[in-house]
Amino acid sequence: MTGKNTYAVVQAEDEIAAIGMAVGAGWAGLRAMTATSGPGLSLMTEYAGLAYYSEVPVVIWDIQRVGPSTGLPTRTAQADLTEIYFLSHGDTQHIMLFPGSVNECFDFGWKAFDIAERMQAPVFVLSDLDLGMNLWMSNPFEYPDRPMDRGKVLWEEDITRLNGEWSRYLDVDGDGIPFRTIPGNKHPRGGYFNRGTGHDENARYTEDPEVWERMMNRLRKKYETARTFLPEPVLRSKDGAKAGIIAFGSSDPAVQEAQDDLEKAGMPLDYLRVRAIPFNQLVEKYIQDHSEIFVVEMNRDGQLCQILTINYPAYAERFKSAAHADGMPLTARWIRETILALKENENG
Amino acid sequence: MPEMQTSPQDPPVSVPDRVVNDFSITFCTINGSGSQTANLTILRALCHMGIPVSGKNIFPSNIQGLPTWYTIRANRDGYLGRKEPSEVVVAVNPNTLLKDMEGLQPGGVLFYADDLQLPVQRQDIVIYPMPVKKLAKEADVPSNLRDYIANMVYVGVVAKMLHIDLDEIYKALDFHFKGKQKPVDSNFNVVKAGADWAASNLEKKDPYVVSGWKILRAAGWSMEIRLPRWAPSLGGCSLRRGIPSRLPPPCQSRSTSTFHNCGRIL
Repeated sequence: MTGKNTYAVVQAEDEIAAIGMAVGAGWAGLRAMTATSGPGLSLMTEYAGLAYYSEVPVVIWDIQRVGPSTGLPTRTAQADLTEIYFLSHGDTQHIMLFPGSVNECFDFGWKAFDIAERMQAPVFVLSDLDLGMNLWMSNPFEYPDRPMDRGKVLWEEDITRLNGEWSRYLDVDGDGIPFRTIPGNKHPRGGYFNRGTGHDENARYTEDPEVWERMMNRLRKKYETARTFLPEPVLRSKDGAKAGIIAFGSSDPAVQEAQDDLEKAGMPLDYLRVRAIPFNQLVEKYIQDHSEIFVVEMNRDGQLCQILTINYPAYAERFKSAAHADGMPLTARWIRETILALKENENG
Repeated sequence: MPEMQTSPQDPPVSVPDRVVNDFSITFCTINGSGSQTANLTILRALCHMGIPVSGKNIFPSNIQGLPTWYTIRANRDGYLGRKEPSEVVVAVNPNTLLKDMEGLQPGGVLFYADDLQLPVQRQDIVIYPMPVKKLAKEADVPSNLRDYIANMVYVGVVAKMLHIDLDEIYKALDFHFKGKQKPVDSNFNVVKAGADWAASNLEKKDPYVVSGWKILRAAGWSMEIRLPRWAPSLGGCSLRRGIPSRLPPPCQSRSTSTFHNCGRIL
């Protein structure tokens, strides 16, 4: 503890500058984050691709509101999932976190940095206006219970032990995550490399097709590894439930209430709150274990339902979209009535 | 259980005799009128009484004068998601009065500023007028602050009729104004005037009341019964570690004051 402020807050002129500064800081070995909402994310698209491919840790908070366009800027939504899922050009896959309470907003605030550095990738945290602008009762926030995880960083003694032999983009451990140095490393072989154009394992520019494909496949492997590092989904089960609900984020209180109401009405449902993409293996297990799954979310098109379908096409018929987008936080009543209506249509 | 007539062709609505800590209030106001202070005062007072409560602000985008709604949900079982329709409506915006009245649940309660002309009559709700302008005019505040402080009239009337503890209202104002005595006193004087007026002029006809944990405990309510229901609604929090610090008497200090939004401890 130095007792000094070891951080800087920078007012950027726009979202492009903000993400540029944050990626630049991450590139320079610092922990950096920026916050925005849907339209700002659109402006951040190119930099998101740069950070993904050059493997720069950075955290981006998205306080979701109603779009497209300026939309309803003071109303809430969960409608940026597909925007972030597919953000940037080429083949990209992004890590997304979904806090469901203000406690989790605080918790993910610091854990997102650990994940970004561990995975050497951008991490998008999807909050929304309901969480971000309203007052909530909560438990006191819990401060980090462990030192920060800077991931696979080679310090001077590590490079000495390796006789100076290391490669910035080499998958040594088979998990897709390479080692990096941080600027300021004083070892003569501790040179710092990052590259946003096509590169090989040593960060050298190359247009070799085989190398390109190999690097892209390693990035996909890294994304697979991320599943084990991200917050697990939260299960709230009910006795006798054969069907279930999947939801995420700030709809949690309304979903829990609806789940209890439906149980009283003789329709017990399990409830899985997903907290991250890529999905943890428990999500697939949950889908396997339930014959029917109602996907509850605050958007028009059922974006989480779409992403689940993309990830688990074999179970596509099990997903029933319960999506609603009027700018207001969901109510238990709407969830309950929608699920009952979906069930009735099915029985038809 | 008394009954209320909705309309000649509809069956009467059954209304419970007493509903404790289980209703939502919608405040229908005008953006930029200072209503946020009033609404947060009630929200904080309920929190400090130990009642599970949430608040949702539905407001326009930086456009002064457009309608704003603020919904407070109190729920003894800890369900804090948005709920509609509301059981209680506080209407001080003439532009939305009709819609706000129509949105009120049958058997519910309407508080309205008595300078507004009620657009329809509903037989299935309880209606309380509030002399907002009159009491604000009588308040000992500069004329340029009168419109802002007028909202404290409804804080006083609603607090009195729903049994919200005025001591907690005072503490909430003290918190809001960071202990600055002058604004705390000038606002609370208007709250008190509203509450006194309600005590002298209104007869309680609706079933909705709040009751703090001290009162409930004295009446033999068991806190332990509430733990399992209260806990899940908090987003998977730690029951053992989290809940005891929140049980009555809650919110004793800043460290356990339990209203948060992202990045700011309030």
